[in-house]
Amino acid sequence: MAKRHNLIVEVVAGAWSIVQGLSVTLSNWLLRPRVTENYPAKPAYTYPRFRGRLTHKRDEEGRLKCTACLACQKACPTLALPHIKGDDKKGREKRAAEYIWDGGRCLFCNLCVEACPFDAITLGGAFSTVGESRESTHRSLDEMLEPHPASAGGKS
Amino acid sequence: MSERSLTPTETVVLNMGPQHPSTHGVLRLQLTLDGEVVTDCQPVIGYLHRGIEKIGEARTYPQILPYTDRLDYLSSASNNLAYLQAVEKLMGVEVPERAKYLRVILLEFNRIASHLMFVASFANDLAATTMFLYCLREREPIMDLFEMWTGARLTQSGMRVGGLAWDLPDGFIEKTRDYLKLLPPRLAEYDRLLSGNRIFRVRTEGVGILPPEEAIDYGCSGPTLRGSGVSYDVRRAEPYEVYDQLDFDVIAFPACDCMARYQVRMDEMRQSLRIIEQCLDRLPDGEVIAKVPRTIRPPAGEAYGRVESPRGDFGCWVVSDGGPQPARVRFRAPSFFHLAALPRMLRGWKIGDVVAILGSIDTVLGEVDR
Amino acid sequence: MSVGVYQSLMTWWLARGWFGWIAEAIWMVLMAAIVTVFIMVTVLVLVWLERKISGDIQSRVGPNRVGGRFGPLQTAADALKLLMKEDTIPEGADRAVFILAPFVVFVPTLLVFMVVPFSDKWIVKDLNLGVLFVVAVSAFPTIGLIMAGWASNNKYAIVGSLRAAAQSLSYEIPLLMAMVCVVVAAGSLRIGDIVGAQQGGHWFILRFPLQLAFLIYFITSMAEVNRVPFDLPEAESELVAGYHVEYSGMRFAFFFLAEFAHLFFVSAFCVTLFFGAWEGPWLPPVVWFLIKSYALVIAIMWIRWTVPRLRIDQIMSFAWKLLVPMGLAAVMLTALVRG
Repeated sequence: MAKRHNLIVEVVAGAWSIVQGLSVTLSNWLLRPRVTENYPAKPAYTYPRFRGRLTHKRDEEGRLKCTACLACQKACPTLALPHIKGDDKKGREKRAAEYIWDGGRCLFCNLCVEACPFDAITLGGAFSTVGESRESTHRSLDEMLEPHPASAGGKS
Repeated sequence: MSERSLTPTETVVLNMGPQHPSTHGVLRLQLTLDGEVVTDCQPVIGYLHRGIEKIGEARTYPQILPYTDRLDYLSSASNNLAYLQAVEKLMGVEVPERAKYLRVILLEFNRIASHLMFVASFANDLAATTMFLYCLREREPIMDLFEMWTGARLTQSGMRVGGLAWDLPDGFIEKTRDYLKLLPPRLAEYDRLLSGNRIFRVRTEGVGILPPEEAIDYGCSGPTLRGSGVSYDVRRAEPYEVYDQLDFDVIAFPACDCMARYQVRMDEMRQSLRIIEQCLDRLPDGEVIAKVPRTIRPPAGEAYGRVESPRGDFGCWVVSDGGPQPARVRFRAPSFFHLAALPRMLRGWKIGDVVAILGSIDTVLGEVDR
Repeated sequence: MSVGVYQSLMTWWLARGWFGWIAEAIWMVLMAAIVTVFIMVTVLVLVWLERKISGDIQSRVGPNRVGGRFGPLQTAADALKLLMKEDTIPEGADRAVFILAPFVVFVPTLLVFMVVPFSDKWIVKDLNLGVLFVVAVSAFPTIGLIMAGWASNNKYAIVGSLRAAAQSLSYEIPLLMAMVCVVVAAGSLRIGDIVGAQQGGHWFILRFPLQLAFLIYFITSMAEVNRVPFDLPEAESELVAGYHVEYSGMRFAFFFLAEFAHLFFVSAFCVTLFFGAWEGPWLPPVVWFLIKSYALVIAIMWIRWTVPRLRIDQIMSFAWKLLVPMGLAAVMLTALVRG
């Protein structure tokens, strides 16, 4: 008799637990908002420190800051900065002429940004880094320059 | 049935191959089945081997840090810390107080995120798909906090030799306190939806027994060990950062089954919330990184860093020869040892239980294969 | 309305001296075709409904792009995609059985709709042995599952189909007992009589021992349709896709459509047996029938997205140790109350 009583209690308790689960689902169904974001119709929101595409910064006069000192290239763990070359000027006037960033190899680890003595680069670029071929992930200097301070500086 | 040779039956070898929805990564399990019952299991690993330890021998000490993120990718801060503990021991660097508290906050948030991911995938394997979505919904605010602080959601690389890379941004503490209020009622809801559910209990109670002596023999740690009743936690055994000053409980359940391991992780989430709250209350001002030389060149020697990752006892052994690059970096991954214990846990159970047991030990193939 | 049309057409036909049975046969084929088209459309709607409901329960939006803000044409797009897929047959597979299996699953699922009373005048053929017909024909898809699993030459598929066979057999018995209760209460196997016995608001769900029969029918019908918590034969997270793992393209679409058609059938039949079929005030009977059937379908979906899955031996012990005694008790009680 005790065994039968146990079975009935178990069945009722089991059924009750399922009803409780159903109530949780129902309350989420009817009361909680939907959290889906309509990307890409609505652009992705990124916080200010988001580590995205490599961007070259300009100084107050709008000149490129990077002097091709190669500190970032030495700091990078994955050889994602394969080609950096300065122009012919000497000393304080020297600036970078060619700069290739390989978005396919980049780990977005921020070591290059921290290594730069001139605060010339940042990983604050675009959210999306996709391309349709391996070569398209390589970006050159003119693609990575941030907009001139005169134009509206919009960040994605 | 196979003892009586009236109808001789054979065992079948079923390959739960590298591509499978429930093996939590690229793991191959060669199951020997007698009907529905598993008689033997042979895990085959190596599908995610990326040679991180070998790469480490050709990189400078700061450059190895982003690679450690990718080991146990669900809780990257634990991997970072294990490696940095070893390096900081070699260099003799003392981390500032504020950095220690912030590191603990980062670690515990990683623990909550990893355990939420565990509950999500465990429930998904048992076909409670809704729990998967709910847990990921709860995990999104943590990802947002990581992005606010370090700029990345999953592989944060938030630490550097001697402290942290970034200090807290504005608005972080308020958002964290909001989250600390948000999560406990949701966890109670999950108990009503999943833990108390009769079907879930019937699938996980008594399934996949790992006796405590054998768990210790196999080298298990973390929730797998504490789910067998052994109350061992690296944060108490060898305290690091500020864990010796914080007040939290080490959760252990004696039942040794999947349900015990699941409950250990659910309660550890609550303890992590407690720890984060204490850290926020006691957070001192100051620097977040100590003064370290530009080139990290530790004196020759070796050191071992050990942390309690969400999976267990994660360790990193660094051997330095005095140069800017280490001579050897070796990682001790807890999931590797749990996979060794897996055949012991699977023997005698059915195919349906394979998924439950494998899910309950929460392996991440990134750290198993490195 | 259809009866009036039928009568006038028959009079016109017979006046010409042609055989009456040809007319009746043509009429039957026409009605069956209409029902089939309706079921196919319903299946498309049900797939969309399942995705929308699952999205709502999981705090996300379901399909919201194809055909407007609510994505109603999503299923049509998926069906089109399935049509365009490559038709692969695995190398060691038993070709004839492999090709035949989807049809053995699909055709009986459509066939059984011939005795469902969509409204007071629309039932394709009100057989004298309606309930028996339903029971016999809805056992057929199981053979199709076993054929699919065997012919695929794949261990996962065989495991899935063996589980399907075990599960289906075990749950036939309580299903039969629940239906026997209703038959005893109505006094006839004919669907028209069962609906007639519930006229005027005396639905069987309100009659004493039949609540138990309803519960048993509801649970076993979820097992017959292979829905969570009984979806082990096609457990995605364990066996990838169980018995239909080797099927792709339109063949897979047949399995998929058959599952949803069967789901709609068990809801419709449950409504017929327990909720008075098409009865209800103001609205036309067809609309009431659809409302009630959809309500049950939504309830089954709600359960699906809440509870986890049972293991095969737990499913079997649940059937044999719990549902069969409950079914016997229900039959006994119904007989006592009626007698």
